[in-house]
Amino acid sequence: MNISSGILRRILQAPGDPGKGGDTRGRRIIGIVAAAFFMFFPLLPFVDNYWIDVGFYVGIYALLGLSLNIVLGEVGLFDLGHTAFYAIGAYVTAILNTRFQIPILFLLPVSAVAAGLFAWLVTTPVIHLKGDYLCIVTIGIGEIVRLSMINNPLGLTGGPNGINGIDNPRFFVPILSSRQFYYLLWAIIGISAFLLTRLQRSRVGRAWNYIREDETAAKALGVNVRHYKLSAFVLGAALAGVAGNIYASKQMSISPESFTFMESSLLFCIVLLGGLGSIPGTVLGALVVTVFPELFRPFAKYRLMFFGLALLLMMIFKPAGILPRLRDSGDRLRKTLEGKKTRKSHPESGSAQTSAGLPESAQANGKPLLRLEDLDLSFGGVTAVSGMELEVAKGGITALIGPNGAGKTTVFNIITGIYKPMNGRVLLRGEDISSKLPHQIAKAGVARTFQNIRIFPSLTCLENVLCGQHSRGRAGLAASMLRVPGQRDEESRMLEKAQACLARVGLSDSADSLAAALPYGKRRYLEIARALAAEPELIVLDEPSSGLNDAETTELSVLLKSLVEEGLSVFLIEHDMNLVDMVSDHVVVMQSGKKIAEGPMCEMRRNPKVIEAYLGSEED
Amino acid sequence: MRMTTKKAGLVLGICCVALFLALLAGCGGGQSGKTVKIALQAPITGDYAYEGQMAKQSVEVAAELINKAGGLLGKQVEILIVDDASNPKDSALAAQKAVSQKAAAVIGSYGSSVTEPAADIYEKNKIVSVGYGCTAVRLTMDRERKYFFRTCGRDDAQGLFFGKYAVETMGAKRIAIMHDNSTFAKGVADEAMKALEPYVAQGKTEVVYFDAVTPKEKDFSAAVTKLRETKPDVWYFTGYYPEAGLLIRQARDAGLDCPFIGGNAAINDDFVKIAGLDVAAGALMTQEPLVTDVTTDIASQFKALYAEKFKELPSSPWPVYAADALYAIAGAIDKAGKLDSDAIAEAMRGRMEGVQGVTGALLFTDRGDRRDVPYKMYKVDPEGKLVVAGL
Repeated sequence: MNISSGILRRILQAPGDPGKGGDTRGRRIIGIVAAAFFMFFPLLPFVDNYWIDVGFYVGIYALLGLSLNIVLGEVGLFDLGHTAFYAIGAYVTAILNTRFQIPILFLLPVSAVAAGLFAWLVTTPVIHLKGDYLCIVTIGIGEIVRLSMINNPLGLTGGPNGINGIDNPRFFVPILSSRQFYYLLWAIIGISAFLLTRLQRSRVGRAWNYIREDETAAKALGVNVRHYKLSAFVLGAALAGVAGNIYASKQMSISPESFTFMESSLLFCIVLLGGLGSIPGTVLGALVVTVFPELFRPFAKYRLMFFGLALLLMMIFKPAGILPRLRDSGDRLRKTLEGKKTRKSHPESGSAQTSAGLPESAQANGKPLLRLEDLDLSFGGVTAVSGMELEVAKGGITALIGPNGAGKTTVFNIITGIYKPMNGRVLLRGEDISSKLPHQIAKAGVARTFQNIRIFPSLTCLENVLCGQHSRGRAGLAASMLRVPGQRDEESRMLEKAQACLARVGLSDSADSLAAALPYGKRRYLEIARALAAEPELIVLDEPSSGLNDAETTELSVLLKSLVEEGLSVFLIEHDMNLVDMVSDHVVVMQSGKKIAEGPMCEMRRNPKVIEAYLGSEED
Repeated sequence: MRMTTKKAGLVLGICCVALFLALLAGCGGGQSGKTVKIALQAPITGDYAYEGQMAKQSVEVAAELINKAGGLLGKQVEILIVDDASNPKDSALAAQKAVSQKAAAVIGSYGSSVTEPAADIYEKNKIVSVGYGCTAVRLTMDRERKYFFRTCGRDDAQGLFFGKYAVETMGAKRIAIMHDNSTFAKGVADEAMKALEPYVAQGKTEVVYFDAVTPKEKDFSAAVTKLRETKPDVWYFTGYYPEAGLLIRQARDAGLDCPFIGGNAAINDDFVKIAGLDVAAGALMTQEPLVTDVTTDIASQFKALYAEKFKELPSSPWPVYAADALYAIAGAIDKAGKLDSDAIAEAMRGRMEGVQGVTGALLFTDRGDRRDVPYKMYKVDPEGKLVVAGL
């Protein structure tokens, strides 16, 4: 049905290993050897200008691959028109340089900004599209840009013949020779890879991955999905613009023929071949895609066939790519934060925020924490919820029960902002949140779990839980790339909190293993830990006990009670009446989108309406 | 950290090895040996692979003919093939490869925007390159290139041919010229206008119509009415076939029956389909001749050897210009008496008299364009096929 998400699932669910120590060390050695190779390659005796130029084009594709990797690899958005941004960068450089003689290196940031701005303009109206639809739009963008170049708007682009006479860059001395171009480009790649690696190990990079893994869960846990998708496009486009700038000055002339759909799909192959989200993988992918065809030129007629076959085999036998992304262990994340000076953050500081809120909430105990007023929602004539009202008291456990299809999960989705009610209000601490977006509601203090578990399977458990902390941090793109002190403190605070939440549900030992490797029951706990990490006031659990055995259910009830003791309020949907009995202070019963009764569980057991609608009489 | 010393050691080690190897590096071979290396840059793969393959075959045939006749400076000609896959990026790489392999001169390439980056690289490395399938005017006219030449005509060269043909062969007194404002069509129309100027000055002819139509339109009745009122003897349309087909149809329906001549983008099989065979038959076209229609001495040798080796003759005009590029280079090297690029370029510009290629004399202007590019008038025959017009 949806091809792009199908491919994404296949890649992400390919068997992979979490980043265990030995593996990462192997990677690091590969990295150092590769860096040394790229550094000294042009100096080797048998390497003539032709091979240096091949190395240069490997670099162009590596840079473009890295830029697409942000969009496709990190966020999982299928962008088959990425060449458009590359073209914008190249044309901006060419036009400004040939018309106004602006130096090339000065145009480098200009091209990046122009491409980024263009990406922002064209993707803003379509960024909400899902999977294949977005993919089709990006193909359109790529083609529109290429055709615009051909149609020569305002006589700027020179039509099908393009623009010639582009200058060489000057960096103190003019950059002319193949070798100089090579080093200029690879220096830029080195810097980009360094900054992108920092992003991967930051709040921003993880937010991108959360969206790729499960958009709905990311949203509900406080990730501003729209913002992060756009930022990925803008950053990716900016980097492609940089590639365009260097390409234009190296070629000295550009024409629309360099920016075809084929080029976009080649970039796509590079990222898939190297490994989704993997920086070394992308560079390797670029190497393979550029060097193989050069080597196979003597067999010119067959080289594309060999190439296609290699890709096909790759997708069948090693879908995760040649060098798949290794997730960072908790230790690794901590170590990168240490850097030079460690400002040991106070162990208390993480929990300080929640406990600070406690006394206040204890004082205001009279008012309900959450109040639903007269909610209506129907889907194309089918009424899901009508006139629903309920209150969730502060510091207690409220349960929502009712037969299947009663509209319980719909109520949850309205509370967490996934659906907008057609009528009525949702009041959190007396403030209407029904018009807010899911991530704003999460930030306001409501965290949830899902009926059909929604964890981020190919991330580690620790990273899963860190998602909860997302809304409690502020560091953006620049802060994460530059790793400013505030960002370091924030990251280490987040790590501590996430670690504590994992410990809370007894998953400390699994912190570094992939979430997909957890047994079913533990996944439930992981979801709860993730919700707890959001430092919520209200935690909303959708059937937390489903799939758990009796012992596990008892464990869960203990956990829930202890959460309430710590000042949290709990609102849960549950079918296990024993659990409801054990933990709930207040029970609301729903049927056909309406509340039919409420009160303590013991009363509900005797309520004839409830018995008829849901519980069934004991005589039966 | 623990790794740092190890890391530093590793880097240092690789550094030493690399520098050592760099010191060992000798300077490359150069044009020593028994052959003169001439590179052919062509789209051996990619969208225009058939053009590249035919160019390769044509150049090989020409090289064999030259070698049979004694070679060049007493040495045999050796052809190096570099593939540009018909895209600008591969073209730059291919050019760099030809440079690295120390080619004495280069033939190439096909496609103007593909040729451009390569021409820049050859220019930078001071190597003569001769294009064979790149007709954009700006390649030679936009900026001066010292080492770039071409054996094919510029886009607008057929306009010149048209002017001569219309007046001297057809004896047209009232000429109408129509274009579509595209760079290509306007260039051809302007060049035709320029070619007609001397005739107009002598009072031999008159240009009664010179205007543009809008491409992609379907109804050209306004333009056709205006054209009919000028009562032209001959009507030259320099644009593309979709408009050409509709124009001739609508003009004939409106009762305008003067001879129609299209530029080389105006007439093809689709033109015949759009216009309808009844109307299309008899339409003329100014075009580069196919090798089958060329009758020089070298052409007959070339055709004989080509047919012997590859069974059928090139089906497009361009590969033959690649062979001519080799003849031009060979002729210039012969005149220069050495393989020095400056001497070759200088000979190409001024001392090519007597040098013949498949399509005739190979003379070049100072900008590097070929002088008097041979064109032929083709005609749509009653079956809808293109044949040389026998007037």
